[in-house]
Amino acid sequence: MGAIFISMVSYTLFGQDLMNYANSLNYANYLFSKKDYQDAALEYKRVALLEPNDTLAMLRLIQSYRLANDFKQAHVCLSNFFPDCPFYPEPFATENIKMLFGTHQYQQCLDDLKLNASIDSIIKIKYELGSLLMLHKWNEAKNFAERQFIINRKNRMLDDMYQTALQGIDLKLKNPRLAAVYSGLIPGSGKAYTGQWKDGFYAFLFTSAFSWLAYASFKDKGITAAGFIYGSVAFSFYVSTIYGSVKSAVSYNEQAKKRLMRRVEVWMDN
Amino acid sequence: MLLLITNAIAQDIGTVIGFADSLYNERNYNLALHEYRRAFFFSEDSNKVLVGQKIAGCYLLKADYCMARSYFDSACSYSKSVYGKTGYRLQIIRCYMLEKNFETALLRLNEIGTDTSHYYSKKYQLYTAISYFGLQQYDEAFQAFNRALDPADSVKITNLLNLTEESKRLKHPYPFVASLMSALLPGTGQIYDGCWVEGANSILVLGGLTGISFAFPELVVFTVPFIDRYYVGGIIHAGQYAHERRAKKQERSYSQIMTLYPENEQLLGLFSTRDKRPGYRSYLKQADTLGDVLSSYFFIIYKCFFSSQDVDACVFNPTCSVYMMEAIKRHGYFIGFLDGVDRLLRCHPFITANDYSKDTQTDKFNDPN
Repeated sequence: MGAIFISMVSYTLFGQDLMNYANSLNYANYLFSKKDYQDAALEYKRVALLEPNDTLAMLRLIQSYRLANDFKQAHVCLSNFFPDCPFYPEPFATENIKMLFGTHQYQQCLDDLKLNASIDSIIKIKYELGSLLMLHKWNEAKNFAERQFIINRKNRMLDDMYQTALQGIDLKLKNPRLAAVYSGLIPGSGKAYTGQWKDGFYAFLFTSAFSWLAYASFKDKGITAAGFIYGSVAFSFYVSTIYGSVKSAVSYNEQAKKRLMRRVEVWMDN
Repeated sequence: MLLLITNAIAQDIGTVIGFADSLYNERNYNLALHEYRRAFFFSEDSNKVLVGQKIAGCYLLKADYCMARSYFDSACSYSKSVYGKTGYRLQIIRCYMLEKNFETALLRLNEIGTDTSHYYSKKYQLYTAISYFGLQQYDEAFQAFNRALDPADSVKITNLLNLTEESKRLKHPYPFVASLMSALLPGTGQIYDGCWVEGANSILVLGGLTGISFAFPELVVFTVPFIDRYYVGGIIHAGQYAHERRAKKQERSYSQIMTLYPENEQLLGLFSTRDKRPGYRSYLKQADTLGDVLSSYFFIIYKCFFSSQDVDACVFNPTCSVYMMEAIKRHGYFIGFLDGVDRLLRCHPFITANDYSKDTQTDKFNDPN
């Protein structure tokens, strides 16, 4: 009996419980620092279970889920930690904003930013401007940035975003209908209008070559099957080029907007 | 009482490893890995050898050979016994072999050298043999296979000698000869490879296109580039079929050889050849209407008899024919057809990385539907 007691005492004193709060937190922090966010989330969940009042561990848990792109779990944790709470306190409010932005809920992000006064002003400016730009509200973004310039004139990131808003306002989009009309008049010219010169040239070359073949066949041999085949191919190329020009214009516009949005995303990640 | 509770719920490294072992036995490798990694983090250096080895084992089963190598490497660095270090080094070499990186495997084998125990010496010889076999250096491979056997086991040695005789045909058919034959007379290279249908297909397509050129001289501008493509395609395919035939022979020979080394069953599937031909018939299976059935047949005939003879000309991923089928499936016949023809007009050699993003693995431009 005595031996058992001594062994238990020695185990308690010297044995290492890997699942206790301190070790779990230690291991979770290690995983978080190694950017192994999925495993870190698992560990922080254990830490949160062992010590429900550890706010920092809960914050890290939400961050781990967010950084592992598991926004759904991050949101569940946040809601469970603050049930029936209209506004999250800092720094959880910032996490919520980042999650909304990460899940492309830009309008919700703007609404929350306006209502929640506890969020840090720099974060507020960054995400409000970012959301406006992502929603293509170029003029609103420009006015917002100009208002912020009065307070902070030498902010380089703000200046970058202001320039992006100006570029958004000046964005010259291609008219898909005009592209279709161009290609209807001269095959391939609609594609050239959208910047796809090589595609336009190829479309012109093949459509005109088969049209000429059809014309030559009908002229030399009269109404023959070969003439109809050449004519059908030429007509297919002609109609497809008109369709392709519309598609190319739409794609051009999307790409132009995406380029600006990518700049915003890079800015937000920094 | 407090001591009792503390001890009852406390989990030391041994308990965590035990739990991980049970997960491992249940084939729940992801969770087992999580537990092993926790044990590895808290372990003392002496214990890291065992845990590192277990983690590497999990990664091996998940076919993540790079991570497996890194943990075998750390187990090796923590191991204090020379015998243990050799074992881990051989495991690292096994990972290289599973990655089919036989050159590096041979280099690492040279680093170990033959000065090891009897057990590891046999393993060393076997791994050397497999690496040479993978590099198609069959003479060296069979010499090493021989050394990996017990000299007293005359039955196995006789079997290996028989397989050595058969191995002389492993390099047949020669890809260069097949390509040369197809260059001289289209289709003959494929026939030399044993692919009679492909050979006949090549002759038919090229003959047909030449016939069309004579019947419709005004079409020569369009038919000649296609004749050129199918001719060059025939030469390339003849070489490829030869390689495929050789790989199949290599697989068969390897599986026969490995029956002589039954304790190395984890290396059995090393040279297994998978059928890489895509299943075009899936379109036919999904076809509901008569139009779908006809377009699927048209697509399959094009793929089997024309596209199979062509060079890898399409610059896009997916190819233009697959794109058109997908477009028809998504937008209906009219818009799908227009979309497909437009794609054909966009598929030209002057496309650059500025126009479309490039898939580095396939070296094709991404243009999904």
